[in-house]
Amino acid sequence: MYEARKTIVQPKNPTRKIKRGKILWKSYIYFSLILLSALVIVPFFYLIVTSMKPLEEIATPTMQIFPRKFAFIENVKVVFNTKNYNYLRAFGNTMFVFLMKTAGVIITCSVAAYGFARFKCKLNSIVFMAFIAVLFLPGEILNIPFFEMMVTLNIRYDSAYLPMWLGAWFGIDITTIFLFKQFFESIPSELINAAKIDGCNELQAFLRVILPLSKPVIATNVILYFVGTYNDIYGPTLYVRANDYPGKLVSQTVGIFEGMFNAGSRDYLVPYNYVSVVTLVSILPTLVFFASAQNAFVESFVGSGLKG
Amino acid sequence: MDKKNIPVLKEKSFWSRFRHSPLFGFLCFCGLSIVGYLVFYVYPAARTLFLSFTNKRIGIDEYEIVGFRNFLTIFKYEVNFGRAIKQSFVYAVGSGAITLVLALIAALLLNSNVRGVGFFRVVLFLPFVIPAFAAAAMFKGLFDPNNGIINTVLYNLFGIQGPGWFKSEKTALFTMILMSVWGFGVQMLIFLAALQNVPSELYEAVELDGGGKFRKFLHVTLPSISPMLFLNVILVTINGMKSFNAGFLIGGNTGDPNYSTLLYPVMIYSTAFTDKMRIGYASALAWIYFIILLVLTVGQFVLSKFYVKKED
Repeated sequence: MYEARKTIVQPKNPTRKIKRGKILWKSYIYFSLILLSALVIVPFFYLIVTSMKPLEEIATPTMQIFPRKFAFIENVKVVFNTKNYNYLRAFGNTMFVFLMKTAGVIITCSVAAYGFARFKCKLNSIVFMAFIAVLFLPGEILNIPFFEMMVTLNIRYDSAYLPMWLGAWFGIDITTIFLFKQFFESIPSELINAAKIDGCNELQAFLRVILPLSKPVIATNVILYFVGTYNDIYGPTLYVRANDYPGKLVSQTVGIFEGMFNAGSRDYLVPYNYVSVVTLVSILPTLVFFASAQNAFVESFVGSGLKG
Repeated sequence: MDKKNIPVLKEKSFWSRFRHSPLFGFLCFCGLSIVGYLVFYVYPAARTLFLSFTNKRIGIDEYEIVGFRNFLTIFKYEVNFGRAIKQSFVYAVGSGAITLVLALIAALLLNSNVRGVGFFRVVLFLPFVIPAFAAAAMFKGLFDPNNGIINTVLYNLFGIQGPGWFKSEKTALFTMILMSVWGFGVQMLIFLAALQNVPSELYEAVELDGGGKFRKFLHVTLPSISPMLFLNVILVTINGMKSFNAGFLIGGNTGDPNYSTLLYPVMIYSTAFTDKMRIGYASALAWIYFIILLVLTVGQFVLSKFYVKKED
C-alpha cells in the first residue's frame, strides 16, 4: 500500500533528472578544481622536469618538455660541488637570523602587550594610539636612516647579522603586540589575581600563568617569522656583501647560480637545470614545515591577514 | 584636592604611591617598547623628513639643505618617477584583480560539498608557502622565451612563436602580474572563511523564491561576504603597491629590461642604497610614497561605504 503511494507521489523521471543535474554539477566542480590545481601544479612539475635536464639541453633551445637525457643526479653533484654554494651554511645563517628575530619579538612584544593589556592608564592609551599611528609608515621611510645609522656605526652582516634582528629586541612589532594584547585581554583577570594571592608578583604572574597560556599566539609568530625571514631578500641584499659567499642566506643562493655564467654581457646563459635543483633544495624546509604544521600555518596567515 | 585625603598622602611617600599605580607597571612592561618606538619609528621618520630637504649621500659627510628642490626634480624631471608609479599601480591593480577573481572562484568551489575538498584546499594554498625568490626562479624558467614550457607548448601545439615574456619590454610587467597571481592562497582562505559564515537560511529563502544558483550568488553570497571582499581588496592593492620582491627579483635594481619592471619601492631602494646612495633624494621619494599609500588606504575606506553591506 505504502509502496504504491510512493510511486504516485514521486514519479521516476524527475528524480533521475535531479540526480543527473547533481552529477553534472559535481563533475563541473571537480573539473574546475582540477583545472585550478593544474595552474598551481604546472610550475612545480616543470621545476622538477628542468632539474633533470643536462646543461646541453638548457643551452640549446630544444622546444621539448621532457629531458632527452636524465641528468638529475649529475646536476645535484654539480650544484653541491660549486665552490660558492654552501647550502648548510646558508641555512644555518638564515636559521640564526630567524631565531634571533623570533626570540626577540616574542619576548619583548609579549611583555609590552601585557603592559598594554593590564595597566590601563592615560599614558597607556596615548602610547597605544601613537603605536597605531605608525602602522601605516612604509618600511622604505624607516629603512633609510636605519641603514645610515648602521653605516655610521660600521655595523654590517659580519657582526652576527645584527642589523637584521636588532629591532626585534625592542618590542616594536606592532602587529605582534596587537595579537598578544588581544589574547591577554581574553584571559580572565581572576587568573592573575589568584596567582598574586599565591604570592606571585606581576612579572611572575606573567611568566608562570599568562605566557604558558599563550602558546597559540607564540606559534603564530614563529610561523610568520619563519616564512618572513626565509623569504626576505631586502635585508640580505642590504647587509650581506655581494661577494661574501659564506655569509649568504638561503634567499640569496638561487642568485649564485642564475649569474653563474654571467661574464658581464647582457645576454648570458642561465643554467636553469642547476637553478631548479637549488630552488628545490631551498623550498624543501618550508614545505616540510608546512606539512608538519598545516593547520597552524593556515590559521596564522588567515588570522594575520584579517588583522591586516 | 579633597581635604580628607591629605593625611593619608603624607603618610605614603610619593614613591610608594607611584610604585603601586598602573602607570608604574605600564612603564615597567612597556618602557623598552617606548624607547624602541622612539629609536626605530620616530627618529627614522623625522630623519627621512629632514633628509628629504637635503642632498645627503651615504659616504659623504658634507651636505646642503636644498629646500624643496628634491621634490621639484622628482615631479619635473625624473623620468623614472612617473614610470615607476604607473608600473607599481598597474601591477597592484592587475595582480589584485586577477588574484581576487581566482581566489573567489576557488573559494566558491571549495565551499561546495564535494569529496576531497581538503586535498584541493592544501594544493591551492601551497604556492603561498613557496618563497618569493624560489617562485621567481621557477617562473623565469617557465617563461623562458627559448626553452620554457610555455613557449614550447605554444610552438608545438599551435605553431606560435611565443612572446619574450620577462625578456621583452612589452610583456615583462604583464608576466610579473601572472607570476604574482600564483599565490592567491591567503585571499582564497579568507573568502572561504567568509563563505562558511553565510547563514544557510538565506540560501533557503532564495530557494523558496525559486532562485537559481546565480541568484543565490548575486543576492546572498556577494552581499554577505562584502566586508571580506573589501578587506581583500585593501590587502591586495596595498600589498601590490608595496611589492618590492617581485620587481627586484625579476628586474634587479633597474627594472630590466629597460626599466619596464621598475616598481616604486625598488626605485627608492636603488636610489638610496646603490651607486651614489642618494639618501636625501630617496627620502623625498619615500615620503611621496607614504602619501600615495595613505591616499589609497583612505580612499578605499571611503569607497567601502558604497559597496560594503553593514553588519548589524
